[in-house]
Amino acid sequence: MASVTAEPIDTTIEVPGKRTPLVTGAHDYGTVTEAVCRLAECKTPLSWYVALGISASLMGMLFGLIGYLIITGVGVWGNRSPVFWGWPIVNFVFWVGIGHAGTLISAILFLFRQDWRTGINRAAEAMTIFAVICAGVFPGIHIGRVWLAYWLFPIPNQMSMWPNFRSPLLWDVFAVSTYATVSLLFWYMGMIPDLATLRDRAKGKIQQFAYGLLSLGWNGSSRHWHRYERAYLLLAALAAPLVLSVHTIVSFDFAVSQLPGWHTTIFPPYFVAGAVFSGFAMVLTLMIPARSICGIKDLLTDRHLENMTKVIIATGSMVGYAYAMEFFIAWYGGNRYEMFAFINRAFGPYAWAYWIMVSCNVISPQLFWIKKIRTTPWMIFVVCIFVNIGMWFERFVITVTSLSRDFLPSSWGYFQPTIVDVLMLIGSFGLFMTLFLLFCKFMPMVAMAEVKSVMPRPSGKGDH
Amino acid sequence: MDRFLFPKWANTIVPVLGALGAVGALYVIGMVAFGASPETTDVGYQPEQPLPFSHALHAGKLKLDCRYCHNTVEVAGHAAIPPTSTCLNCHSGADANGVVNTVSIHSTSAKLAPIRESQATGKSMQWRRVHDLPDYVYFNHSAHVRRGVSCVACHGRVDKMEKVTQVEPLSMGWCLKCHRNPEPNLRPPEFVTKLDWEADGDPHEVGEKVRKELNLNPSTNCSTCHR
Amino acid sequence: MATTIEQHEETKAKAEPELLGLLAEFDDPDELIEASMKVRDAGYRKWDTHTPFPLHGIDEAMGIKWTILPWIVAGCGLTGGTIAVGMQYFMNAVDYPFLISGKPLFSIPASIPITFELSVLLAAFGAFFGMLGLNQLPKLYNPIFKSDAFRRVTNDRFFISMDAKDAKFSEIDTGEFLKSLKPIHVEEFWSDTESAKLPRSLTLGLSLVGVVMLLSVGLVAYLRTTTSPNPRIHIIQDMDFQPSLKAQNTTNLFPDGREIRPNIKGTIPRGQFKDDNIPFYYGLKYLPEDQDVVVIALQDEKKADDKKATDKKAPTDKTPAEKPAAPAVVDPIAAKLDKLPWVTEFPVPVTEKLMARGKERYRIYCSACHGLGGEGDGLVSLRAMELLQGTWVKPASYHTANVRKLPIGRLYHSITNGVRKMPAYGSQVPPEDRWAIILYLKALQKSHQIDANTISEAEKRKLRDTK
Repeated sequence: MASVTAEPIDTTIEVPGKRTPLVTGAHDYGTVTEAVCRLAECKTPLSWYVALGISASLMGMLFGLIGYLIITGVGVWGNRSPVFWGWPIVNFVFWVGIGHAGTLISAILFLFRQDWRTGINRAAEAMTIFAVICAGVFPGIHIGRVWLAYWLFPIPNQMSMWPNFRSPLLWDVFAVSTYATVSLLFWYMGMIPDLATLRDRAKGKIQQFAYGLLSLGWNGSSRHWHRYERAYLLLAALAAPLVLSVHTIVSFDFAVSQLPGWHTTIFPPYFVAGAVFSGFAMVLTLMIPARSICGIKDLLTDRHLENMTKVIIATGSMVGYAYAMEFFIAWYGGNRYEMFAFINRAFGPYAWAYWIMVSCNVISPQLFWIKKIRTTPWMIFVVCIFVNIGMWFERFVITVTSLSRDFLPSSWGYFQPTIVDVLMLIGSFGLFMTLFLLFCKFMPMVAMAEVKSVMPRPSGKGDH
Repeated sequence: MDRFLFPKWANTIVPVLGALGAVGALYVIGMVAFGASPETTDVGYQPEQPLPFSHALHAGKLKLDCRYCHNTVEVAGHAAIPPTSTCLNCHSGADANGVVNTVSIHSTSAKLAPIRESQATGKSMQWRRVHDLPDYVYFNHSAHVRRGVSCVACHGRVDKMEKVTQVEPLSMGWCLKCHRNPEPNLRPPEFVTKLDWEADGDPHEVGEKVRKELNLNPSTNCSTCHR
Repeated sequence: MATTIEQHEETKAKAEPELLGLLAEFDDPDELIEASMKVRDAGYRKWDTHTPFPLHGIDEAMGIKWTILPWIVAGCGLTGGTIAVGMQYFMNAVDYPFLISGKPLFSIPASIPITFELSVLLAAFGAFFGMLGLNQLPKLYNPIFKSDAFRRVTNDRFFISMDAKDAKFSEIDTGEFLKSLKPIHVEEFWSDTESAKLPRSLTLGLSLVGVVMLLSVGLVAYLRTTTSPNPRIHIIQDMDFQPSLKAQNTTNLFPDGREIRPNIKGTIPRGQFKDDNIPFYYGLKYLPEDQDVVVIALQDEKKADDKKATDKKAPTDKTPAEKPAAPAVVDPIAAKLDKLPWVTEFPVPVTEKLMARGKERYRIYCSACHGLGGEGDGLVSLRAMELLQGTWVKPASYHTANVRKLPIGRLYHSITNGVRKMPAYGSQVPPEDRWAIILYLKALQKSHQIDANTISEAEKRKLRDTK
């Protein structure tokens, strides 16, 4: 059996006229399978249990706090007049933003024929879904009386009422739930052939049953593959505008209301850029340790990381541009309330949050212009952590500073989170990590079939 | 060779489960729609009262007007549950001297003992409320009764009930149905307590006439009822 | 590469398994493509290739036709968009038109986001479920999975499967043909003889679930058709029961336990100071000096703590009243009442409206005993008399000389405080309505005094018709 060149190559250097291989190391189809399936098949390392234990306890804490919140009421949060949106909505927007990278990588890069996506798309998609789950938790509990959450949907009810379709909040319900559903379908559909691989390799009967059930009897038929690829392409084509629409609509939650600091037309592109920015940062934060621990560095190469840092520079700069443009328009528009809102943002009581946001989001990604930084995984990791922090603060700044300065100075306030707020944010990371760890252990972490299809064929023929 | 393969019936069960899933979905929708509707949970409430007062006798056979007892209904939001003194108009017991002071029927009846006890002690009768809206709903009887909405529209044929039972769901949708389209429940205001009244001609036309005469435009704004 | 034909001894031993087809294994995708072209050119129709990843070039090599999936997706997407627009229009502009911030009930721009989302959602469902449906998945059982070699189809091996149902298929020729394609291995795959019927336990289990489901249907039907003495269970209280005070409820807040508060002792509601309008509130021209009489005359409401009133009233009630129409009883109280300065003129403007009101109120409060015509033959009284209980007295007819001559102030007093065996209605009928009732009563009396000859023929006919 033929295999690609065995000597190590630096995939971060582009050689004109020659395609850089997407998979390094001496891999053939079988060893790719081996590398990916190893984690699901081998004895689970102790560290995994430790990590799961920590995440699951944090997750348990989140659920406990949700119970406490439901029983006691939303007063356990710091949400007080005039800041009624507070942390839950900040967390929601933060997580929805994180949830943008996966489908973007899968769909938009797929449509652009960026084959390097094959190494990272599965994990990124999984991350998307888990982030959207985390995001969904917050507005769900933010309504206070969770048992009335069905009011958000057009369900016939004894009140003979329908939701108000002219409200951006309702658009958001549709956008986020559609996004979650389509991402889930996309993710699951992509996994079917790989689940079949796990099924066919599984030793235990329970695994054979479980993977057999999940893989729906996939047998690799070319006639099936034909329709599968068509469906995948169509889903990608559908998901691509969907990704852009979701954060656009999330931004409408703010932009459609007439509050200085929110009521701006730049919000949709600014939010989308920010979402991609934070999403890629989160993918990198997760993948850099994961690829070492799981031993899939050959499939998730330095080149993958470098490509993603380039996306981060681009989107980070867009976000920086948006920050600047907001100030420019506030001045140029001549609206004194708008001017006040932005001066207050940068120099008011929340100036600390604003400058954390600017330094993390605008300044830190610019380090990626230096090749040394963007090809050194630990440095990428550090910068990405900063981006994550910065993006959380961006949502905090947008949500809280505008609300804390109501039109009447008598209703001005200063938002102070309670310990429940803080623990819930930490708990949501627990939920996210728990799901991600379970995914790493039990699901194919890399899209094997897709990686194989972009590998050079053993006979050296073919178009790749 | 020892590995798990799905048995042949696994293929049979997929469509079966699919069909069951579809049926199950319909079932859940149906159960929620019918099972959790106020028609199921609220309609049919018939509490045991402290004494077996029969509306069928008093309002039906004896044709007492509803307002004889519920005398605040036209002027107040609340349709008063009659005080013991109203019962005593006809069912007074003997006083301390063993004399029945006013006209009285069944003055020694065992069934009416609670009334006499209330008369003697001055403590109210503990009537159980049948029609109770949630406290976040504002409802005004006078606003409805004086505009030609009959008692029967919400309480049913009380004059035929031995025990008063809730016959309407009293749900928000049910309220709105009439607020959006009041004509079927409108009648000339003088007939509101005449529970067996029937429109002279097309009920809709009669309702429309009443609506025009009284200039009725029932509001469907949230603050109409949630204030 | 060695090619062998393996036969599954086990399966063959069972009762006549059928040969389903042949499998040929390759380890190089390009060899598979070449082989596929040959199979295609050999004219086979029912055959397939199996690969671990979508192999480029295999579609042309096999001659796979384009799938109709895009059309399904387009259809679903359009359906989604149509549903979304229809839903938004119907719900916000037709079924529940509700004006918010002066926005139009329905507008295209505001409905774009949801229309887009629903189109995408349904199209995605179309793509996913359409793909599964066209591929006839999920198909958990597949005889081809019995082949051990076939386990590598999801890893690194490539297969051609020939279906025995193909018209050109014959075990020997097709086998030879496959071998000529130089696979590493050819094998047969056989059908199972086991039945596709669901196991009994499963059928039973499913039926059991069905029965349980029917039980709750029965429960709902039962609840909908029966009455219950128990109130609805409020699983979640929401704000159904608020601590605010409401009419006729009880509270711990006040010692008497009432939520609705009586007037504070010694206070009078604004505009209801009775001494300002003595004729209207007392039926008297003025308040007499004799306080003893005044107390009796003025006991508007029976007050438990008003000892004087009860002490004085008791003798009144002891008077035999079997003959209500009898001349005034010798009774100091009644005698004193007779002496009071009762009003003879209405203290309110006499209008058509007041008369109508009086008629209505009379029919609510008085006719039950006194009858519609005032003859003392109300339904309540008739029934009470039937029961022969002795504690009931036939109410007075208004049409006796004694009653007719009573001043209206005296009638007002009777309604307010009761008279002889008649209970007081002061708490049930407000003063304005008492005067209205008296006006109607006067009209009733008058109606019984009319000389028939003074009535025109037309009116007589009218009266006869209404009777």
